[in-house]
Amino acid sequence: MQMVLAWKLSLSEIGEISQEEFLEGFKNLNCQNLDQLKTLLSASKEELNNGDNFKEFYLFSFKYGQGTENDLKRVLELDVAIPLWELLLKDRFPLLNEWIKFVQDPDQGNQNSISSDTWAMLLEFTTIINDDLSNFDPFDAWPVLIDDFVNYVQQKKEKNNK
Amino acid sequence: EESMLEDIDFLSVILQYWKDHCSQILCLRSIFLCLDRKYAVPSTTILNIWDIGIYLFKENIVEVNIISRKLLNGLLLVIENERKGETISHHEVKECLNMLFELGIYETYFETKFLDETAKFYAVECQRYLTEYPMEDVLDHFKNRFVQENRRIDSYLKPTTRDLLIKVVEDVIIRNNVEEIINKGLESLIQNLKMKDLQNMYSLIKRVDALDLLSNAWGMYIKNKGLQLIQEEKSMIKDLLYHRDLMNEILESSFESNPDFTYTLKKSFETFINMKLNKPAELLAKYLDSMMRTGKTQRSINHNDIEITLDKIIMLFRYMGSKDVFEAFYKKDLAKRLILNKYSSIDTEKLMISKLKIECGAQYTSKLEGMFKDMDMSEEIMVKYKTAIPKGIIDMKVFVLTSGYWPAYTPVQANLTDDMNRCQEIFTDFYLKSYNGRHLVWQNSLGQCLLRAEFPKGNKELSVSLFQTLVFLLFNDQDTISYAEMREATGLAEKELNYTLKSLLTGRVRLITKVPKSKDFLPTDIISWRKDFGSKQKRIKLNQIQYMETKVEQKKTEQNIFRHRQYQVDAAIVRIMKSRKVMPHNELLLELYEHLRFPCKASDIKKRIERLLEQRYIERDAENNSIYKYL
Repeated sequence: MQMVLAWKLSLSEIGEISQEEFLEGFKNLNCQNLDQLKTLLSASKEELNNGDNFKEFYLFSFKYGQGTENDLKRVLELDVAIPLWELLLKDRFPLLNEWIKFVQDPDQGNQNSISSDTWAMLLEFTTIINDDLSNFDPFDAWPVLIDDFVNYVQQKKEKNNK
Repeated sequence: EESMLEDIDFLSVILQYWKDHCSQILCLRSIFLCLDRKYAVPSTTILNIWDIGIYLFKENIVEVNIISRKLLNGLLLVIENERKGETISHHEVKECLNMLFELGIYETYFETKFLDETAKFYAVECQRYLTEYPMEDVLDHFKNRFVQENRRIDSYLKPTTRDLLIKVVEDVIIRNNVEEIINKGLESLIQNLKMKDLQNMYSLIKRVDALDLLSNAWGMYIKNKGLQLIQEEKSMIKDLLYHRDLMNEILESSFESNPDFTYTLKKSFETFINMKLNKPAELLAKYLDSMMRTGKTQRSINHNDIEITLDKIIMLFRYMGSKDVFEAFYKKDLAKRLILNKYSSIDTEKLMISKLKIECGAQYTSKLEGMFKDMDMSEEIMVKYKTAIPKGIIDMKVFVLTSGYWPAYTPVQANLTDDMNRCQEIFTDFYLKSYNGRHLVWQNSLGQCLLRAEFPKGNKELSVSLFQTLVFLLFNDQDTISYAEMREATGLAEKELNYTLKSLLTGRVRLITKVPKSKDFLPTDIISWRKDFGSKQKRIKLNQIQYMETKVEQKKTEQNIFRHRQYQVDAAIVRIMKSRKVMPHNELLLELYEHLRFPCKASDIKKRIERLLEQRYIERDAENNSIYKYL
């Protein structure tokens, strides 16, 4: 739950917290001792059950994963993105394992990083699209990577059915 | 057989009766003229004598069952026999029918039954013909049947029967069989070039208003044949030109240049040609190139034929979606032809440009026209240059190319001889005096030389590329040279040197040899000139596999085309979003398809949209992910 704390404090670098962030952050959260911190953390966990809050948290994770360096590139390296996904989408995305296999598969294009748009759209995908991908429309505005992913999963299903 | 004859003979029998009866009635009427005229005719309740006579004849003779049957059978039989080819007495039948008409029972008694029998007769005949005879004969036969039925009407049937009869025949012969006729006959008639028979088919089907069926089937044929043809790259263009010629001829001579069919032709060609995306456009440009080049075949083609062929090429070009592919390759080849002086006629070249201009607008051809302007300008400059500097170290002709018009050439590193360098300097100075502010870059990869070579067996004049020249000049100082030394001396990059050497080692005429004879080049390879070279020809042209002609260059051209397309897609997206500010994804795609002048896959467009999203030109709407907003 380091992530949740990082979110609440609006930290910018994984594993680091600056003095400023520490002071400003806790002041804004009205949190002055360990007990209050505990309450804060459990309250935050509750918050995450709400879709909008979780979205905010998820989008924050992208920037957080970038740290301060990669800000300009607007992409997140895969080796950071994958653990983040595993953490964040664990029970929210039944196809998570397939997704992770897909983005790592060298035959499926050339991903070393994920754009912020694709990151954001993935969350939409998990909430809107059914588990069996039945309501996916390739003519919608999904990023190409997600189109390819759906293709990948459907092809695999066909192979298994044979 | 016997009863048949009886029925037919019966006709004359009954006619006789009728004639007698008529004259008798007329006789009676004359006798009772006064009574008839003054009493019967004006009255509305009493029939006049003639009418009574008619009535009695009808009631007591014709409508008597057995007579009625025999008469009808006789008539129908006689007509059937004529249809089968026998000669009958038209006069007799006509009189009979007149009689029935007088009796007022022509339609009810005869006509309806007659039409039924006609239908049955032709139904049977059609089936037989369609299964037993080839389609040409079938169509011919059907056509003749119509002629015959019309004659029948003129000969003995009542004119009122005409429309009904023709309709029945049309329905039975054609309407019921249209699909079978088309399915069985269309393809084979086309393949066997049976224009007249196709015309028959067209006219027959036109009668029953079923031309759209024919049009669709024809369209399918065009598409399927076309799809076959585009699988074969080598003969594609030649075959397509022929295919189009043939289809056009069919359209004009057999299908009356019907506008619907004209449209079908166009649509079908467009559909199948664009199934192979970019290849046809590229091959068309290549075909044009081989036509435009100098060669033995050029002299035999006269000017009119060339223009006709150009028009046909333009027609194929019109169907293609990837016009930018054609332009890129055409430009590349045109540049080669102009620079290497390989065009057979400058007028033909200009003619082609003017046709392209009419077809695609001035913007499309402005660069191509620029290339011609450069050639003319270069001539003028050379005249001035020769007057200013009459005797240069080397006799040199320079082409000055405006970089925007010509394909992109990159300057290639090479060590020219001192003389060559000096010549280039002198020209550059001269040029910049008149055109201050311009920047000249020498493209040595395009250079050509006329080299005088002394061989023991006879001196030769060699027409070679500049790089080939650099290789040859090395042998002025030595008979053999290693690859490594050659590379050092010429200053050419490995790739460049290898191309050049390959052209000299594997052409038809070989003036140098390499040891070892392997395909690869090692620094230790030894290259020597052939002292024993001899040839009947004084002037020898060495096959110039110049940098421009390799497959690598082709790939480069293709990549440039695609990169250019990406720019166009990006620019279009930005332009559309800028004007609309907000737009749903699907609408954006639709607009793009309308604006873009080349085929584009939805996934490619999506990739460009993603790129623009990343670069913050556009963003997704917060509420609805399918809507984009301009930033």
